[in-house]
Amino acid sequence: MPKAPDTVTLELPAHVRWLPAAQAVVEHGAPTLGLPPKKVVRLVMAVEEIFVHLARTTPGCAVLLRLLRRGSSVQAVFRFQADVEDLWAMNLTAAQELTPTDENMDHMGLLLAAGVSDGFSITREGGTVQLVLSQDKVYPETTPSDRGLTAARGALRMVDDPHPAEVAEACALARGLYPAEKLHPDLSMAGKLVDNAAGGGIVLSVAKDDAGAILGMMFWEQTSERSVGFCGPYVFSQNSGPVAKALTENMLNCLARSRTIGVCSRRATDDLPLEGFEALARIHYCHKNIVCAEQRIWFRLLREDDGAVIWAHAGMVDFLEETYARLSLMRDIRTVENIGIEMPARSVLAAELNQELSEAYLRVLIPGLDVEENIRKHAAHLRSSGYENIFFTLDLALGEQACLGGALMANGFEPALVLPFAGKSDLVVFQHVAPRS
Amino acid sequence: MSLPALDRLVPAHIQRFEPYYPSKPDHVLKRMYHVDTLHRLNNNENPLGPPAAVHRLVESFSPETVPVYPNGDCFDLRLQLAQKFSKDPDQFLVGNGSCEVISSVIKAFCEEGDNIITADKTFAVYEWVAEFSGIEARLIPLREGAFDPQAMLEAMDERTKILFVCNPNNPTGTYWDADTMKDFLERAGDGRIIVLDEAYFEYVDKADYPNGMELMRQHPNIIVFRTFSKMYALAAARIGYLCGSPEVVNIVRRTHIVYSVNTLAQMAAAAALEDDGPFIQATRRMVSEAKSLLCSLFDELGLEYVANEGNYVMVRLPMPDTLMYRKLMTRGIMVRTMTGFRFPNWIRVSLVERPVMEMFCQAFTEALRES
Ligand SMILES: Cc1ncc(COP(=O)(O)O)c(C=O)c1O
Repeated sequence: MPKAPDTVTLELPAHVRWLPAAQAVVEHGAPTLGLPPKKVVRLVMAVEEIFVHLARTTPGCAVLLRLLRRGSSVQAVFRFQADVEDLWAMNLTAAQELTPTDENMDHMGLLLAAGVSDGFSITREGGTVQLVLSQDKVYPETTPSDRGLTAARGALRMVDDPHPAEVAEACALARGLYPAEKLHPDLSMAGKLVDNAAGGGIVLSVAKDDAGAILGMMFWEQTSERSVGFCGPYVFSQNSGPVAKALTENMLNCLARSRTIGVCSRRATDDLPLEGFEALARIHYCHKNIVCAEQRIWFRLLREDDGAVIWAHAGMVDFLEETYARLSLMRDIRTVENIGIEMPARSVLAAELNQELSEAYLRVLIPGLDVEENIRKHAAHLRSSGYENIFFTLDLALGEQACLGGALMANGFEPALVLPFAGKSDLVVFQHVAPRS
Repeated sequence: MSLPALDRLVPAHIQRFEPYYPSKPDHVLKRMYHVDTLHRLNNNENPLGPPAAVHRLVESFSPETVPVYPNGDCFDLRLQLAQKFSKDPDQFLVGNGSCEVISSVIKAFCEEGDNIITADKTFAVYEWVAEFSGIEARLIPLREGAFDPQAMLEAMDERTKILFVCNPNNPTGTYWDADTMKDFLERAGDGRIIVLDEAYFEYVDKADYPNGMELMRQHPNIIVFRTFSKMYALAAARIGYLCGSPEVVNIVRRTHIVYSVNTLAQMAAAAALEDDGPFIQATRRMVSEAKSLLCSLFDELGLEYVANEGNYVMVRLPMPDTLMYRKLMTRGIMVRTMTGFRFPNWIRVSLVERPVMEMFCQAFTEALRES
């Protein structure tokens, strides 16, 4: 018998009659998936808000609600058909416009749901919208180790499915040996890394010596269908070079015959063997008011590049030409100002928020006539909510996204880097420049 | 109508499998990289060829042949191969490239739960065919750049059906000498199929290089692969073959597609075999000259390289292989990046005529200097 996935899926009509069913699934299912009681309450609340919203705006429509564990978090995923015109309230900023009339109360739910969730994201494919609410499980903090560097004995070997205790030890060592800005926040919760590795969200490998001592660790995750982001290599051996090289080559070999085309650093340490990477960009990155540092981003492709055609707003062309020339990447840049299709009055931006990293990634879900205004409002809203690292990504395969370069640049965003193959084609990442105070 | 329910229709091993996209045609690449000429040093082709007899044949090939199906199992060619190697015609199966016979062999012997054994850093198609057929591919790390016989034997279990040995190996050019091979065959026993992929057989000029065609007389579990794509310069015709003991080939014949080899390819292959001695000698001279040219450049630049048998060498770069690829492409030279072969930061270069090799040397040196 095939094993059933650890998932509950419910298809139900968007009607308040069915609200108790949706609530019950989350209330009873989430603890089964490992969510602690306090977090269950929040997830139930968020699901209620979304469900009520759907029941009011699209009564009777089929809604697919799926509850699942994804590594360290439990997610409630809604899938439903929605009319583009109905989606504007999905904007994070919608609250500001919502006076508490009955009709507007429908939309408040979305904001409340986003507010109580650890992660909130929206994607759209054709007429189908997928909305993901997630709650993180709770983990004890991993105490930094003061053991210092190990003197390796014997040959080096790579372990691709390390034991949780080994991961915990590696996290403690990394925390003891590396400055905060080089550490991915998850290293302070070894259990979270272990769960994410077990759930397939990240891949983690550890280098050991003959005596079983842990000499280093590296982990990576799929950041899009064809790109991977990595952290590390974290090296705990006195002789760091060979360990760093082995960890990095092991990662590349694991990805060598996969669908990944591009590999890019999320947190690269100074141990990264640079001869295997290309300098992609430097970005200014802040973390919880403590450190604001320039972060260097390294990347490499895993395959031969055939060149590509991309779209760009005229305002971005200089940046792109300079970047592509520096990277020796062949791109036919076609400029696009306005794609000339009829647009809805109101645009929708999708926001992927990570409170812990003080990081917000915005992207356009539905382009609309008010998009420039909407971008401005989002930036202001995120700034005032304390987000320090605000990014906006445009997929250069899509003219309707690429043409937004001008609107971004007019509203405090600057092009910061190009991530080859991180979207349908290359993604250009804009960063919001903090207004001078 | 909407899309079929692919997640339910498609077996898990196919869902996991990533399709392979070969490089774009020259005209597209030339336009993208803004170059007028493109020298392909990425596929280990032989630019000297094909042999003169093939030229004559292709030029006189009649369009009237085209409406008629080819012979379905390459009758004449198998006859000729049998004569050349003193075997029975039924010991040969010809395919649309030797890639096709890889598939026939795996289909003939493997079912769900079985496994095949090969190396991690070798020609990828054994691993790919196994995986998209739902068969486990056990990949044994190379040892000092060569197939590791001991580790391959240790990886065998009762579900191991085929061991694939690429001899000489693409891309390292290493080979098992006659003693190593003999010892391996004896220890492996006769319970499994041993494939010796000799795609680069005709390039090897070493006294201790074992010939699979001879070995199969004592070891009827051997299947040898050979191809017309490499030495014989018929890559565009897509033709290669396998040879084994009659009983074994009789099994593989059941899963082997008939009519897959076109008439021109069958005739060209037969012509190529006719008087191949001088052609092979000339090609070997070209390869050996090219090899010494490249090796001295790599020595001069202080770069680690691997130059063994076959018409290719590998060199390790102080930069990503994929970046070197792009830099060389802007200079009209195409090489093979080796990250996909699990050799990150290495490239493989086919060994060809001197003028092109010199162009490579110059482009390579410039590209290195630039970074
Ligand atoms: C080792 C090896 N075997 C088989 C092949 C496949 O050759 P073909 O399918 O062209 O006969 C190649 C081609 O690169 C090869 O390198």
